[in-house]
Amino acid sequence: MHRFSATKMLLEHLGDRPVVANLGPSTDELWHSGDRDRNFYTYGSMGLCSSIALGMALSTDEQVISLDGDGSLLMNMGTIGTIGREVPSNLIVVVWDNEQWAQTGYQASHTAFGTDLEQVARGCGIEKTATVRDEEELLSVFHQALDEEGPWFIVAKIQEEEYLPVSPVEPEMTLYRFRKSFGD
Amino acid sequence: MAELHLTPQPIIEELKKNGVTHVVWLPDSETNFLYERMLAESSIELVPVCREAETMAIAAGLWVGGKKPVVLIQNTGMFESGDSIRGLGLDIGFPMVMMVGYRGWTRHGVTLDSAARFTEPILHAWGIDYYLVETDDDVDRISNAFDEAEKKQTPVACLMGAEYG
Repeated sequence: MHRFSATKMLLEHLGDRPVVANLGPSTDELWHSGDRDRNFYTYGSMGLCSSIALGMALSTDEQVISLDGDGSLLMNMGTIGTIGREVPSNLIVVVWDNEQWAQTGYQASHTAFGTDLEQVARGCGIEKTATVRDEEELLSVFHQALDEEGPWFIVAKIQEEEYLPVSPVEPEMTLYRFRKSFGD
Repeated sequence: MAELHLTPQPIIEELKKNGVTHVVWLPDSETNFLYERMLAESSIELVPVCREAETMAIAAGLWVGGKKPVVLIQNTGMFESGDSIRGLGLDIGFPMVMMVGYRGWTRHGVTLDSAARFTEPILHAWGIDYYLVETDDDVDRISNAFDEAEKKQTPVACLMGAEYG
């Protein structure tokens, strides 16, 4: 499974729901999949994608989707514990797990050596979890997540491919239009 | 001269006056006295985290969603949160008020604890303004911090002195 193709697939099925994307390729590929007001692209602060999404989920009844990455989430695994403690029923976390820090030179990450993020999530009290390895599995679980209360934590094992061009979006504009479309 | 104290209720009243909806926090010794009172305050939700850098990100998400969070951490946690403050506070113009437990603050001019010695220089380096809150007489400075954060659309800190009762 490749992230770009899987991102496009999720975007076709998630309707108008807000999406927060991890920095780097996750953000770029979300933009190339379809730029929309309710895409929240991140540029820095690696590791905080799902924390931002958690805050959004606590501010609304709408479902909020986080497209995170294994290397990033490993930097901030405590946020899985915070999600497990807060139990936001409207949060869906999808972790693109390529088992490496690909953008910095394809160095193997901890998930290549046995760290199982789904088990971490379960250990933090998140009951709705899955690990998927192809788009068919991902779509099936994603639909379940859209239909059932969460929080959901879905680890999507992916293989890296050539990067797309960096998305031409400006943080200030992204923030402005996202807030206009999402806030109270 | 009467002994000066910093007590929880005036602080909570100040937060309520400013419309605070959530306190995103990690417990610390300097601000622990607020905990029980905050738990009892139904209009403010507590969001405890595992590590301080989470607080700014969760607060940013709440703010994007139209809520009014405040971050409550210790100065040591503020150091840990550098990239979070940079990326999710300063870079996006998030008018975030950070209440920071001022570990090591002595008021006597000799500060042995490096946590206190580095606090204000680091805030200066980031260009983050701050207000010192040591006693109940100072709590209106919290409102000043909210006003300044909104006016300038940037993070502002309140350094919470350790003199509490």
